[in-house]
Amino acid sequence: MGETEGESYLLSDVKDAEPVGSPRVSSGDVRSNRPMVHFDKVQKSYDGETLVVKNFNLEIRKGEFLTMLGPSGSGKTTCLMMVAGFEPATHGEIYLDGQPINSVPPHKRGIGMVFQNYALFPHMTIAENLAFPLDVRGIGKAEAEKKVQRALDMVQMGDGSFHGRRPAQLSGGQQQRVALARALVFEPKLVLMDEPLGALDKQLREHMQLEIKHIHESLGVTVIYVTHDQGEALTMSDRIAVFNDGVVQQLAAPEVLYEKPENSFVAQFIGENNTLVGKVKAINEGIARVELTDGEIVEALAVNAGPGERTQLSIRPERVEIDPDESVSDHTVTARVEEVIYLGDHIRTRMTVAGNSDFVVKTRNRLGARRLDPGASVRVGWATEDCRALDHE
Amino acid sequence: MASTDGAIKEPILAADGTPLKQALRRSQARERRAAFLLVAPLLLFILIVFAVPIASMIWRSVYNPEVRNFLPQTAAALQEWDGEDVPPEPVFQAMAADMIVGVEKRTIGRAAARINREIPGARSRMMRTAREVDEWSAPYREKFLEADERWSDLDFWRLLKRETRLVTPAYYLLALDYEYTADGEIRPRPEVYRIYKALFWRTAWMSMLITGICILLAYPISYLMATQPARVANLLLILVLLPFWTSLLVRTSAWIVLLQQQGVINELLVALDIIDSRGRLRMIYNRTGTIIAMTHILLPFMVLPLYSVMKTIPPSYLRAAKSLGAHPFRAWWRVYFPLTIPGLAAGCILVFILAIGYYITPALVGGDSGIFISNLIAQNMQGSSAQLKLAAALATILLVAVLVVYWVFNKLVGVDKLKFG
Repeated sequence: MGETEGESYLLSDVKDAEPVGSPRVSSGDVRSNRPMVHFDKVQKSYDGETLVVKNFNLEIRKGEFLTMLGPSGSGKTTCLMMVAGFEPATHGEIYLDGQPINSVPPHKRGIGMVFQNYALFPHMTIAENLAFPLDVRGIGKAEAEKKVQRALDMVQMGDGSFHGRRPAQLSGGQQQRVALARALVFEPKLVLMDEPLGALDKQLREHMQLEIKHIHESLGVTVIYVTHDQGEALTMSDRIAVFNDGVVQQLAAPEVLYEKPENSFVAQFIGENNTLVGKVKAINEGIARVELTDGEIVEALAVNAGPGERTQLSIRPERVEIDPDESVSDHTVTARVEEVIYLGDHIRTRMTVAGNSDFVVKTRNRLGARRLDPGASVRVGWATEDCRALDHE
Repeated sequence: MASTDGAIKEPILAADGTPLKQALRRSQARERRAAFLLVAPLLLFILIVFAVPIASMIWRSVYNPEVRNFLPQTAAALQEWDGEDVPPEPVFQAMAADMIVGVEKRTIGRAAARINREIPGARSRMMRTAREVDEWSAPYREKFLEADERWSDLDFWRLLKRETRLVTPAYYLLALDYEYTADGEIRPRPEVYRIYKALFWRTAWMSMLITGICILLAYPISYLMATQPARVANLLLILVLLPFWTSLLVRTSAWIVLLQQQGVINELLVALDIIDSRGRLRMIYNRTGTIIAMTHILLPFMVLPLYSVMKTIPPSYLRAAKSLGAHPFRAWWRVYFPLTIPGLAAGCILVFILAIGYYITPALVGGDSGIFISNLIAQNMQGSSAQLKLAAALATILLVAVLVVYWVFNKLVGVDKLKFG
């Protein structure tokens, strides 16, 4: 188990730990090439008829913050539960730091876990909750107290007023912090988080996202984080695995995922996305000529569509220009303005482009920004590399 | 909450100048009245059919009117007597006067019966003297002693003096296997008569045993129900509640069919050669029968509170404990079990209190060794007025025992924390 390794990260002062943004994989670790978690052809079925997780392969590096993102029922939580040991894999093997763990019971895995409902023990005080994992490991009282204090300090609840309280006497955000501290207090190498911020309001959630990110950075633990909130995933992660229908659609860093989606599910799921449907006429040096439903021809990066196939073009709303000059966009199409929504920092204009009436253009609300009137007819354009020809769902 | 600055000392006023608290009280009075009217019928019902009978039972268990009411002059005259010698003339004179009134009002027989209970033969002597006394004249003392020399028996007069009190602990002493001697001393009854104390203890330990077995049986099934999907849980719940849905007699005959010496279980054991035919087990009409049948009947009272508490414990608690490194048993003991205590305690108190006063099942399948104190209470209730009072005393002791159990539970767990369902 983790604490026997002598790398007591909670007993070094957290404030003096590695600065934010430093390399997360410590170079001195001789085993750093070995992945922390390795899913090897993992399959999972609950009923013997359908697969919830289909042939899942993933390597998670030491010190990495990996997010499993997907709609509910996509298999992401099941994968997390398989790592924790609460669900057995139907097929395949999971390796933890090189060791197969399929037959290791949950309590011997030494993995910290933060649950969706926090799962703080209601009959114990905050200090008792935090001391629980230390107590079951037979750690002496004095040392345990020190570690509990460190862990509470880390989540900014160490001022002593919380130790004796019961979980029910804390706010949601405070309970969340305690749950985080409890999952970290026994210094696991790997921490799993199952939608830990789901019950918090938006403002607190955004605050906690950064706080968790900073704790991760200063401790260097490996984190597997499950969420269905794409904004949360983009904010916090080193890499994101986008799940749908039991399959990882794309595994990439946040910026790659957003800017270079590989299929239309990812393009739709991450961020806002405009879709134009058409047919690939020809592909030339990676550029596809696509005939839209209204007969207009546009060019796009051929990512996931072959000649003659139907395709969905994906264009991010902020990459579309209204009345562009030739230097910015390779190509323009006609659009009719349907609705203008004023949002303060930016303006959203909903248009009909090539039969799609949900085509949204985001423009910064800068000085002299042009306001269009509904019903007006304009030209819109974009750079070819911002328009990706993806599979047709 | 206290005011933050401490400056506000005057009461806060409502808009019309009355203190806010008073205005609030007035505005809520209507609701309070309505609430009271809603429960009033039930309150009245409980008062008439529950509170009053219990109070009357408790009163009856100590009420001792015979000597005082039916021999009033004698009772008064005896107060002067020191109990050392045959009473003086005034006592006999008073007795004669009481007897004349008593014969007229036909109450003398009841007083005589009361004395006869402790001094056998006293009744016939009193009745005979009472028939003759109206022809006598003073001095009565000689006449009494002439008619029957047993009138000089000091025990008789001491008993009479003792029984002039309107309230007596005699029935409670009897219920705890003690008795009064004629001169008012308390001593244990002869060994052959001592049955009640042993029966109280038996009732208590068998109820505890039944409660314990119920815990052992109910805890796993409740856990299973709480963790299964609703469909399975409902089916299990129906199975658990089955004893409630079958008639008592059907249930009892089922137990007889199963447990008797020629019954299903014994035949099976014999057929399997586990026991030989002469060694058939006695499992009914004794303690075993009472324990088996009562456990079956009382099990739902343990399962329901446990189930309702367990259903509210999210499975993530156990998972969290395990993920923090606790062995499954330790996780259960440190995290799950403490959270089930409110249900467990509620189940225990329900089962134990129901068991301690159970009547019908021990009567049907208990035989001699499996009966409870309630069975003796019932038996005494069908007897004479004295037995009725003994029954009242026994029942009051049982009631007090239940209250004590409740009080202890309240101290240990806190009744406000219990969850009955």
